[in-house]
Amino acid sequence: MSLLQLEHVSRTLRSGRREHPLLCDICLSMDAGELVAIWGKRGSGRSTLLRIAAGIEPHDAGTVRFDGRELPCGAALGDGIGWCGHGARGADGIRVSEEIAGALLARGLPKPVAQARAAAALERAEVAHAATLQCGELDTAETVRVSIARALSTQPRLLVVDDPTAGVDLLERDGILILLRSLADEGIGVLSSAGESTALSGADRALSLSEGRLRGSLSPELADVVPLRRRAVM
Amino acid sequence: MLSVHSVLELEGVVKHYREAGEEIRAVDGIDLTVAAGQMVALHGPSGSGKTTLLLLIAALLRADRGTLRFKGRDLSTLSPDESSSHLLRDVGFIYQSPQLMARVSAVENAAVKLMMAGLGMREAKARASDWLARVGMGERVNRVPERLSGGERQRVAIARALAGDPPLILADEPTANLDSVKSVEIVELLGSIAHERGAAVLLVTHDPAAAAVADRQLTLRDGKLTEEIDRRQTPIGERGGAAGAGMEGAGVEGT
Amino acid sequence: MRAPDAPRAKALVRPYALVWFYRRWLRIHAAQELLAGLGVAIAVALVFATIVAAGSIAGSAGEVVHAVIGPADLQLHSMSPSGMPEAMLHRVEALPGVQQAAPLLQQTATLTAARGRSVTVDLAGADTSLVIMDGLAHTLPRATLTAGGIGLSATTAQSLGMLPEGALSGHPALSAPAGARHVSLQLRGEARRLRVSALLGPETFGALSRATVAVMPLGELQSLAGMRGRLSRILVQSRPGRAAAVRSELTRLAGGEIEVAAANQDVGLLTQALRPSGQASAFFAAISALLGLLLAVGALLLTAPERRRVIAELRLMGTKRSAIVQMFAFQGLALGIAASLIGMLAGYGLSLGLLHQAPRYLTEAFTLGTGTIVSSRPVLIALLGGVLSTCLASAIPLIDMRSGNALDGVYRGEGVPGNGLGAPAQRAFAAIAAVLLAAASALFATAPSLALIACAMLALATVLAVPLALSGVMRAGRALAERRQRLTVLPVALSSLRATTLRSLALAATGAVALFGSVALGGARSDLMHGIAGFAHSYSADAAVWVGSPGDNQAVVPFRPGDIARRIAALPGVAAVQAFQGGFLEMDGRRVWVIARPPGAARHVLASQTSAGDPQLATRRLARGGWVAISRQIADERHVSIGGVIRLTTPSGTRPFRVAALTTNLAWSPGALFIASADYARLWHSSEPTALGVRLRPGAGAEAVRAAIQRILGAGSGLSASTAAQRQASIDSLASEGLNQLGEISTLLLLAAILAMAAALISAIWQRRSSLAGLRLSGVSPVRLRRILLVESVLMLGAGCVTGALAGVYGQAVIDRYLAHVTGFPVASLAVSGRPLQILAVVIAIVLAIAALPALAASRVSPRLAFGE
Repeated sequence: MSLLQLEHVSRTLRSGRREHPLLCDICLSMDAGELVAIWGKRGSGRSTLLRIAAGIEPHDAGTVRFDGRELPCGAALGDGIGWCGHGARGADGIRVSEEIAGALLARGLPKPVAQARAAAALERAEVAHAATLQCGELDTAETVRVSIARALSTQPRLLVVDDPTAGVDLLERDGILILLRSLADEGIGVLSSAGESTALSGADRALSLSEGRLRGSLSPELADVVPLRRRAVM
Repeated sequence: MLSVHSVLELEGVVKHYREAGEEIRAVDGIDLTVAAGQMVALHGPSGSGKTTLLLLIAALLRADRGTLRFKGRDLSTLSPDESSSHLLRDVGFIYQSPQLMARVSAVENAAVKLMMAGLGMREAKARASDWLARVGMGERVNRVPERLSGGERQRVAIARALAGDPPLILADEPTANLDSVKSVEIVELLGSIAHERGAAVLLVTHDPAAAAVADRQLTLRDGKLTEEIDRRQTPIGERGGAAGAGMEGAGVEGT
Repeated sequence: MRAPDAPRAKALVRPYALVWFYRRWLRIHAAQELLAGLGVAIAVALVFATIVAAGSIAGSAGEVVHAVIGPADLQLHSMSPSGMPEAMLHRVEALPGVQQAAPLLQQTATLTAARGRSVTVDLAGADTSLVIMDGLAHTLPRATLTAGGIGLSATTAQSLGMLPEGALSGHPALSAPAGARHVSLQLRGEARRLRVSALLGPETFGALSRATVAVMPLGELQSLAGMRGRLSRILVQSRPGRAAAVRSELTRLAGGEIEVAAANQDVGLLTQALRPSGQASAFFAAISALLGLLLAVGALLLTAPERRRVIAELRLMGTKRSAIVQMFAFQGLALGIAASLIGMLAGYGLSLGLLHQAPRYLTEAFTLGTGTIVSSRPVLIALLGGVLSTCLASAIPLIDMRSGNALDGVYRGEGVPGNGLGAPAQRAFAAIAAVLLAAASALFATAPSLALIACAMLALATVLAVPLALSGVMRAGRALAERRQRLTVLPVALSSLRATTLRSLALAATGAVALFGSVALGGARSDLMHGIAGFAHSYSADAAVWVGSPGDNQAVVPFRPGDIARRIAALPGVAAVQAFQGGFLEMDGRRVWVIARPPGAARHVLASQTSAGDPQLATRRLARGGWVAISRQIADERHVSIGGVIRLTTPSGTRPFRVAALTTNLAWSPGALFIASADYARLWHSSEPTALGVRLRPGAGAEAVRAAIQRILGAGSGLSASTAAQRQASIDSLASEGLNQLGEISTLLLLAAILAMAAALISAIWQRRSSLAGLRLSGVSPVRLRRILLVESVLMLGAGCVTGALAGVYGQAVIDRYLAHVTGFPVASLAVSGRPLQILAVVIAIVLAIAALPALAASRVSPRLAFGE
């Protein structure tokens, strides 16, 4: 059984009286332990696709199944699905570890458990050093890693990562890709998006999205591993 | 020695400041001359004083020691009003996160500086849309920033900075939010403006591909400047190829 | 990593987690939360203060009444000013069901102390039976009821300057015999010097110590008032279970001029008397409460963008909706309770200080206390209102959690995250505002009694119309900028206004509410004051010089004129002297003011106060006898119209009269009744005048004649003369006294709004520093930045305030109509002056002045901030 399955998903944007089909009839399935990267230009709908897959944004037609069950908007976020994206990045004046533990407290976990889990997640995302920093003090790469840690703290089975390398220093990009690969190797399904081909490194499958259509190996059987590229450090 | 074509001259510039009781030598004795039509790439780890250097050149900070001259004029003698006007008319400042006004169309965002410089709204918008066309945004002049991508927003910010034809362009990581292809495009655009219009461009960047487009590459470390590569073998502060390029640019402009 | 999520998510968020989240929120948004709390506290303070102030009058009067009547449950009281025979007391005591009975003679008198300070008091003549009945026998100083002395309540003594203010108990003067002091008593046209036998504080006199009263032995008062063997009231305590039987026995005894009533009848009458002015105050209180709560909502809306972002963040981290709702409910509760408690404390302070005053105009007809009484009702209303509105307002951002919305929709909207308000929402707001306006207009036209609802609708419509107004202003600004190319700051200011919509709107809406409130309330108040002034003028204009008991503005205290009238008539310049009579008539649970004058002597007041009917015809009909002119609300209650028959219960029994005209309530809230002198003298068995009206020959000076009359009266008469102008001023000041708090309420509201707006403006400017830094990097000098901020603020505040002011004028009309039609007060016709404009200018100027310093600091923001993002 697939971990995530999108069947004939469509999404149309409406602004005023104009309609703009963004995603048309998208089919995709992925398994646990897979790293799938969606590659497309700005405005191609790659973020929207990821947001629908994570249940953040509603879709107009088709079905999204997570773990075989249909996924209503927002249902599994934090309960099996972890999301890292841009936009929300925690408030200034709050320490990173507190921020992550807070989300766990809101889920009803006791304080010591929440704190331990936050620390473990930061450790796993290789940003333990940032635990006592404030959210506003992080650089771009640290922000991405912290948001991965935040998602990991809920112990997800599917991690949806929107454009993890955007704006990240070239030197740091590979580290993040290596982290995602290692998470997939631990058995977490990772769905990521990228704006340029260099960010596809380490993916089991790279799918391209343009004009609302997804192209490439849409199901795991045809896995075609893109080897992790080593870059010379300048 | 004052070169006719040097737009910017820095001699022994020092800026220290204290933070949490600790003295930070942000800029620690910098000599630099940038000629008209020259694009200089500046590279350095974060906290190396790049931003401080740019703020000094923009006359938003005063140096502790040393002199900064813009077209022969000592920046330390400017009154606050004059330094604002220096920033408004002489400098185009491009920085990492373009502070565009939300819900305001690209052309109006690009026209802000022109309007502040005293141009009427209509005239300012006409010129701004010319510049938007130049940076490849001709078809999106009426889009609001929310409907633009990061790269497009950066282009609007660049059009805003360049719209007044400033002789000096300061760019602080203008390509940080862009992918590598677009970064090179933007940097090439800046270079072509330098060469065509005879503007001096100081570009802070981490991206080696972007830096490669520049005429000179410098590295700033602990407040000190070292020259890494000088593609055109132009010694600092000397008339040479870069100045010649400026001349050529001016010539093209003239015909 | 894949270990099962051991302690599963629970439905309820743990309390410490709720606290943790709130502390976290406070740490980042302390300033905004403080601002919101301040808004709520101010609103609650206003509501609380007005309710308490209104409730205290009736409440403390009730305490006084109960202190007088003690355990008595029934009373006999005389409807005629001349009272009932003392023999009645023995017949009452002889009834089998009566446990005890106490006689009482009540007179309105004026006391003057050595230093010339004077006060109108309720003077009670009593004997020891009342003291025993009230349970005061053990505490009341023995000297109080000894002959030749008068006992003063602590409040009376304070008014006379014999006790320092605020020394109600434990003051040495209260316990020491006060024999050394004297007061002058003016009663029934005569003055007498009396020794102060006791100063009565709360320990000895209970709640009565807080009323403006004085006591003296029954016999002595009877002889002073010329009412030997007469009583005005007998209080009766029936034996347990015999009340009904006693009542019917008493009714059999009474008959005619004597009425049987519950002992605490005065409380009911007072409540009725307070109702219209209470209605007016309550109405104003309700409107200010509404506006205060809207202010609170506005203050909380200022934090809506941040709250919306927090919601989005929490949801992206996988927090369940129910948990978020719990957090917001907890935060709303915590803030609401804290702010409401602070607000109530402040409100209590207000009600003690600014709003504390028993309306003196009521003291002629009632014995009033001066205490501030806080019952549980205002506490509950204020607390619940505060907490509910806080919760409601802080829950508004939860709208983002509607299903079908993207979880992080805030970040995808236009403008600064969380600040966007889409065009559809704006259109919907405008449509709702239009519907509300139409509904309010319909109510205005058809049902003036529903004015409160109409006003609430108007206030809401105002708030909802603000987005439209703001975008209108911005469009106009753009058109101006297009045409006038040299306005370089304007387009930039307009652009940056567009980026922070929600916050700008909240700010503009706050201004709108404030202006609406102060224009509507203030305007209606000034119309009411003008109406009352108009009444005072026309009432006084019926005589050039008035002679009567000092402080007796309603001319209800009778006196023996002796030969005074004849001597005045002989003065040069005097054309005629007319005897005016007046009193109170208990009718349908109201204490109605009766004005009895000779034919034609009520011409002016009738002409100006008649609201239906021809005043000239009415004057002629009144002169004929058998006709009355009566306040509209009484006529409405009795369902009589002009020409119809109304039955009045006079001391001589129930008599039919025909209604000649309908009038306002003459600023006496229970209502008024005009009757011919001849009818009054015959039916009330009294020929004693309560005022003499002096008419002058042409060319005679009123002041000169007044001085001449005062010489005739001399010092010992207990009467005073005043010119029409003096009398008008004194009536005006007294009648409008009860309505003073209306002005204070609207001023407070305005102050609160100014503070709220200034604070909001400051926080809005401060939060924008990074974008201001961006503008600085583009070469905008601090001076230009300040100009941009100024233009922005003026546009934002202006749009809101102008909308509010316009709606406020409409609101003024609605309230005027309510006051005139429902309470019956004389109200001047809607006067739109330059006042709204003044308020507008003052409000904007003050807000800008307060925000100037932070704006100055923000304009010098370090350009480095622009790199921070």
